[in-house]
Amino acid sequence: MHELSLAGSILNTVLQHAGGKKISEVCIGIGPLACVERSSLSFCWEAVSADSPAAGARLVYLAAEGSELTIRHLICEED
Amino acid sequence: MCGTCGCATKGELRISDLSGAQMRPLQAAPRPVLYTNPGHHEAGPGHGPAKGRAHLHEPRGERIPLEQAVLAHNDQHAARNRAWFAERGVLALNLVSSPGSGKTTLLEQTILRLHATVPISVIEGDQMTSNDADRIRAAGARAVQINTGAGCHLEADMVAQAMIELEPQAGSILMIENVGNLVCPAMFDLGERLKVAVISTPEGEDKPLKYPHMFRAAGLVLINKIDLAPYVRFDEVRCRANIAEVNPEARVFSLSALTGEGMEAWIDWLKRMLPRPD
Repeated sequence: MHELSLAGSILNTVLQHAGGKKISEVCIGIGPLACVERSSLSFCWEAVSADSPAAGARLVYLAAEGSELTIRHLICEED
Repeated sequence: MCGTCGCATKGELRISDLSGAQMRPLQAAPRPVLYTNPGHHEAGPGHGPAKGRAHLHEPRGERIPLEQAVLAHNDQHAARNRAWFAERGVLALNLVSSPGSGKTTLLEQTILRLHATVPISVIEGDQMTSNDADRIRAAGARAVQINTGAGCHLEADMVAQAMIELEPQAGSILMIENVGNLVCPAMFDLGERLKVAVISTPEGEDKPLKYPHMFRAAGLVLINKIDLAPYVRFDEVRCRANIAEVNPEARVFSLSALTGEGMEAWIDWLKRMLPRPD
């Protein structure tokens, strides 16, 4: 249920680092105790990222330890 | 608005004044400014890493490593709140539970027993209505109501805004009554000293196993409505074992806020947790 807040946080962070470029992929490290539903986060991500340079970007999940929930990296399209 | 669960956008957030007479929109603290980086390629050919950040070019595009906590923004606000509480000697507790476990009654009864010696102020989080803040004021304590609209939890910047209104005094207790929800509030640090999870006997003794994240995050668990235990066939021993299974470190008190049974242990615990004046 809190995935919308998380999607919003992810969007703000990646836009800050993308320097206005179009984002094609965001990689999220997610531990088994992170208390996050991936499908729910992906759904919210689609909603919050629409109309931004991250619109259409894939959220990719990497298994992590414990309660980790981090943005590992993002991939931007080259100029 | 989130189509899955109906979580609110920030625009629907509202906060009361101290009297409860008025609700105004709560402006969430500004998020990091977007689009501030003009693009590192402007640094020229052979561009050095913009802002010292390394990046790689690969067939799929430019890969920017981040390794940043998703909740970093909330955590920063929480850290600021925590420092503020420590500086003022305010004991801040984050009360979490399902709706209807008796958090507000517990607070009313705590205020009646303690407020004369230790000032208590309360931040009330609910989706709608200022009923709870009204009850707290009637019990004699200062209270600010936050309505989260369709939102399912409080965040650290909301607490920061409520503190401006409440101005908790040195040596006092700040109770933050979170939105009744055993899932989402577990993730959001508000800057509290610890989370107090309340479970009531009619909910059943297996709640800690069904919602382990919340009970794992709590430093203290209160089993409320213990007077009803025989009528709802609540097995206290099993409940305590279930709590210990997900969180062996948690302290557990059984009490009834309504009858007063077991309230002394909770009140004594609060007094012991108070920061000692220098």
